[in-house]
Amino acid sequence: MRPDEAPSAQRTERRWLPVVAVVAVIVFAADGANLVSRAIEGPPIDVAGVALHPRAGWAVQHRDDEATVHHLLLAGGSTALDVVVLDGYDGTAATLSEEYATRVLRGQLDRLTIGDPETGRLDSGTSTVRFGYVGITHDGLAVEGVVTTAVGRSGTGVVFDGYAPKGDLASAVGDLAAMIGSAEVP
Amino acid sequence: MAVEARPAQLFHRSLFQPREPAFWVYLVFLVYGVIRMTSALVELSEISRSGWTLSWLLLTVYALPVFVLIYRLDLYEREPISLAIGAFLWGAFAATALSLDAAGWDRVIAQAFGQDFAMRWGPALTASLTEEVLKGAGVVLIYLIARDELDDMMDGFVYGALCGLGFAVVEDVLYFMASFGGTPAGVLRGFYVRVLSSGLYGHVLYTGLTGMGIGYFVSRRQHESLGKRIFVAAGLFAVGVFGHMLWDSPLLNVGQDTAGVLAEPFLLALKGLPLLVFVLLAIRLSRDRERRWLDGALAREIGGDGISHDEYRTLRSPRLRRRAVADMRRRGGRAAAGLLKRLEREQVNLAMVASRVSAADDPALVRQRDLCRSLRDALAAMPGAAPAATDDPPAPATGEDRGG
Repeated sequence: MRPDEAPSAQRTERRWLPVVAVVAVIVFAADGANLVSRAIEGPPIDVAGVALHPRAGWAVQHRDDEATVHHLLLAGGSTALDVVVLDGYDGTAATLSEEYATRVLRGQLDRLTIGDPETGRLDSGTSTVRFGYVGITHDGLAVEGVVTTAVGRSGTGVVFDGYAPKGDLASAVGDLAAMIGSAEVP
Repeated sequence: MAVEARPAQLFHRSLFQPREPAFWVYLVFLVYGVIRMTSALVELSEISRSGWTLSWLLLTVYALPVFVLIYRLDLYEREPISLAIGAFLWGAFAATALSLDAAGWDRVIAQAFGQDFAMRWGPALTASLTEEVLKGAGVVLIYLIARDELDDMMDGFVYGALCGLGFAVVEDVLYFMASFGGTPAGVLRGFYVRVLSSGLYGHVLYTGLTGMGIGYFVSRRQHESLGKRIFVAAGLFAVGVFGHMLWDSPLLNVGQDTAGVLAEPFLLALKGLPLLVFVLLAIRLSRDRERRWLDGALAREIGGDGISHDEYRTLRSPRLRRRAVADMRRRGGRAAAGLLKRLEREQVNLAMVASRVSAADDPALVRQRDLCRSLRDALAAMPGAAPAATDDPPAPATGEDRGG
């Protein structure tokens, strides 16, 4: 062993320690929110058998249940997620998306433009149909949104409509995708 | 002795230190930031090319003189330009990109305190802390890359303020394009509100304070206890965060909804002026401390080979230094003015060496005195330069001494 080996090792350690500490601080400041939010995350929300896992910062704003139609509104910042659950729906995800666009969106929004539908799947494997849209509310606010529909094996139809004032949706796309993807539809 | 000979410890270190682990960490985060922010900025340019170009043009016009002003704040020892630019780039790309990643903290606030509270207070509580931490981390990395270059509070302020300036520039472009519509008219409105009305109070000051704290912590090891250094550094960081928090909070939004465009700067000044006054006071105190340091360090040297009485009087005052260099340029040309500037720089280095050694005949100190003398001799030999080189008679020069 060279006589200077130990001090050299100490010097190397001294050069690395503060750097490791700075990296830890940077990573926690930039990404620690996910850890903390998972730690304080609440239980899943049940809407007529559909289980939803709200991301940190999303809270229930409104909820109502009629005979076969159940409605839940989640809000996170300026973005909202409307969840509509239909008991005993006898169509497909594609027909449900068409009906939602025609009966709901066209009634709520002026100058509605709808994108091409795309098929996909929830994390559980349930097939989905998704389309984007832009429009203007009756009080003049430009909004953009993404609708995802699915029909479960037991005939439960569900519509996820995530929307925000134009320009705000991009910041919530990750949360919307996570909440919709992890939903469990019976 | 040739004028090129310099004591080894006086070489300024650049940003490029591949042997330092901190350099690689800096580089990795910077590359990440450049990629993330470039894609975001390019995407925003699609809103309006002309608005996007105007944003950069206006911000360049604003940032360039501010950069020079901050860089020249340090009276006696200008920081290596690569480190100064490195601090700016960290703020512009790494800190902004990482701050975008840190947006999840708003959701944590909403989760803990509810949506309404988060909408009102989220930015004040989270952005102020995460952004200051992420910008301050850049100053710490700059210190870890080139430890010798951050040797007082003023150095810390310079690096911190440059980092804050870089952050402000890129953040402003994002705001102009995303929140002010991105059209040339929107960009002009954004420039008026975010830069002209409030540009003096923002990120430059917050991170300048953090940098001062870091400068104090690392440079006062031999003079102050660890507890006091932590207290001062944490205190300055807290003041910066508090100033930022106050700026983002709805607390002092007095009448801003109803104020006219002309009244807006005054209302914004209400929020930012106390912090501006605090920082100006801190800079003033720091400069006084720098002057006292120069006086103490050169006390034994004045009138010797390294520095004459007149040169010392000029060196102490930035105004007299500028005047002396301008005068030299007029009489002896650019080369002579450049040589005088180098002599002044080496005399500051003489103060640094004198403050680090205990013996008056320490070889490093003797070498630095010789270097100053040889520069003075070289200056005296230049046509037209001699009368202002020094009022004290210079030591006899040898041919070898005029090597520079």
